[in-house]
Amino acid sequence: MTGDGTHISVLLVDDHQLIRDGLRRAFDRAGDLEVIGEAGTIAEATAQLDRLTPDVLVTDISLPDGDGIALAQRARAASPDLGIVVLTMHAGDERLFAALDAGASAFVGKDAPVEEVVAAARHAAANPKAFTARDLSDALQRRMHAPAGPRLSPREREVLDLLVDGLAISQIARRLFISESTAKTHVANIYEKLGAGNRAQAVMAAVRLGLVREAGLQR
Amino acid sequence: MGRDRRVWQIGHVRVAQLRQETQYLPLLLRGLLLLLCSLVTAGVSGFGPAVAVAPALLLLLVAALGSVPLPAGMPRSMQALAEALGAAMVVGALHGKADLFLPYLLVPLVAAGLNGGLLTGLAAAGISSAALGVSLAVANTDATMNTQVGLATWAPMFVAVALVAAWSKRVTNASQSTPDPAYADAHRLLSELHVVARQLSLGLEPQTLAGALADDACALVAGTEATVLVRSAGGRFVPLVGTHPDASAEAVVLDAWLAADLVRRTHDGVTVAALPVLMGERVVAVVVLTGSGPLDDQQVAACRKVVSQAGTRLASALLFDDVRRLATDDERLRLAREIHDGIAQDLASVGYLIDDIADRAAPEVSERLMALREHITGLVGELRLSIFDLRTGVDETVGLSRTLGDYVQRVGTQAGLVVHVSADESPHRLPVATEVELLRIVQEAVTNVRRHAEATNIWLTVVIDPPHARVAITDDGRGLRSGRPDSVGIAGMRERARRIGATLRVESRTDGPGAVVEVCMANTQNGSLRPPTATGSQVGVADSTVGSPESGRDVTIDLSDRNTPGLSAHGGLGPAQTRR
Repeated sequence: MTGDGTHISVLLVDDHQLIRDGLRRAFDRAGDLEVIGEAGTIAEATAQLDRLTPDVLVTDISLPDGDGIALAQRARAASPDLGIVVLTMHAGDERLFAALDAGASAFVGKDAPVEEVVAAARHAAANPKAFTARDLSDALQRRMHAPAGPRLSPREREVLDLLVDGLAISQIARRLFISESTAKTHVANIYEKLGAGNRAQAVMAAVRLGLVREAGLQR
Repeated sequence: MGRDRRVWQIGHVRVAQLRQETQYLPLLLRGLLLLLCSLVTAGVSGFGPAVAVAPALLLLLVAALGSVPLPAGMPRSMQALAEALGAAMVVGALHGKADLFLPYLLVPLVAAGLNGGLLTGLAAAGISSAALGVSLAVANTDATMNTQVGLATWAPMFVAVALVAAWSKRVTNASQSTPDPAYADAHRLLSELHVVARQLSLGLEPQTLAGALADDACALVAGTEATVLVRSAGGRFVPLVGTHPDASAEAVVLDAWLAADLVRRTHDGVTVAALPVLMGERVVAVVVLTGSGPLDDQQVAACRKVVSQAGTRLASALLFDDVRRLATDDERLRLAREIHDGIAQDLASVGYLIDDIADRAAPEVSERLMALREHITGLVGELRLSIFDLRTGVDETVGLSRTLGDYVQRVGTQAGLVVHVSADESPHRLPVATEVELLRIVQEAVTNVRRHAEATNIWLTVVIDPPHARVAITDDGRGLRSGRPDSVGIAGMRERARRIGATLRVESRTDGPGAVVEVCMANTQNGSLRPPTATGSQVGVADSTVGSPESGRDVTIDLSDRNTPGLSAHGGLGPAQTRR
């Protein structure tokens, strides 16, 4: 770390010069942060990270030669204390969770005022391992409310229905026009997703989780 | 047997290729030239027909070998050089008897220069001269003087001819570059497709064509129901029209598909006949006739005729649909990239600029700048959602209700709406094209609610039981009476609904404030979709004070992924969720 105790050093990575200019002005204005380098590509960023060892990396996701998330992931692997702020123009929760999984410290949309980026950089420098994002609680809630139980594919549901009906694997294969080995794979996946060791446990789990249609049970 | 047939096909293709690629015209020209040479030789020298014809036949053989197409990867210039060498050796060996064939040696050189260019031409000229010289020396040892004179005359001539030919190739090349034949073919086909697409765009919709086909088949065989099935990428049968067949009927369909021929089976008094729709030897769809009475041969023959006529049309429609979808997806991604890299970034940087100015400005200016900043934040937020919309597609591994639910939750919660989702999906899939259109309609409807409705709640109701489907977006906002300015969006939704043979209903709610957008795919031919307000248990929307826009819903099929323990805890049978 090159921070001299008073200044937080920042490396800006974005392929749009105007965005970098805007961010640099904001960091300069903030007083306690200093932009020590800029990069427009993953390759440049990687070289500068090694050379400058900044306190905080601020990176866009879509870069001409790759994915900013992957850059964050590598940077995190190389340095556990680096603050990482991921900027994005994309909406959608998967980017946010990808940034979280990559070990980023903060996630900021590009529609947010630049002060949010500065605040995120401060947070990242102070607490690189704690992830923050404005949309985090909403996104977590969405993720929590999304089907939390096992997610069976439509095909696996069909196989499960037939399992519940008591069909043998060879019969299931014939019924669904798939090979026996494919049917076995589906069954193995279902057991794994339901945490079952055998057919009886799988059927019990499926009933308990409400995955079985009533008609299937009556038949 | 199948194997034998395939081998024969491969052999057949090879022969056809050979026939196609052999160049007959140059060979014919050479033959005529040789005929002339032999006639002149026979007439002038008086050696007799044998001497006149033999060299001509030999040279023709060399020329023929030079015209046979080479295996891919071998340069054509090799052939030209070989022909030049062969011809020179033949003429040289017959020196004294075949002087009049000497001019023919220029032919391979012209060919080498024209086909191979300067280097090949010169090389061929060199090879011809050398081969002629060696042959003359061997065949005519006592006439060295004569040989040298002959060579001295002909060698420069060879070089000159090769140069002229190479130069003329260069001139023609400069004026017209030879296009890649594969691209030429592709262009020809695409031009045809373009014409077809413009003239028949209405006649190239798989659903419409399949519906017409089913109607025709039903008209021929009284008392039957017709279904037209195609096979998805994952190997499942997807009905274009009609209901999904039960397991025993599906077995008949599979047999028909594999045999590429009619399969009939009667089970429990119900006759199922599956007739494949063929395009050449490929099966593109299967028409299934289900009826109580047995089909007689006359009816089968009539159906066969109708189906065989429809084969090409339906196959083209399916292919065209696929091409259009690929092109559309591509275009959407391109558009998303363009917005992402262009206007969105520019606008975001303008926002940063305003942040900077506002920070330094006097308080009263700063206040106004903050208002502007808020506006720009909103605009960039809209662009982020547009990019998200453009990039969102249907996922073949998760059900459509999940895709729609995720989308409405993501976008709705961001806009501060309370999102309620109720989904009821059978494990069978709708055709991909249909799923895509339904997603786009939902996107448009949600965008309208977000922008214009000033609503608090938004409900997504999905019922999918292929080929039936009903998707509704309902809100409790201003409704349509106040003239919401989203008529363009509605026209787009209507167009999409029409394309998949669905009906679109956009109207103010009668049971409360707000509006409803409902797209409904009901098969009028084979009975109607179960009514949206079927008698059943109340939808388990937790926030009951708001009241569900749907009074009830059929819950006998409850296979949706959303029916999870966490939701059952809400007490509702229906997989409904409420969140903020």
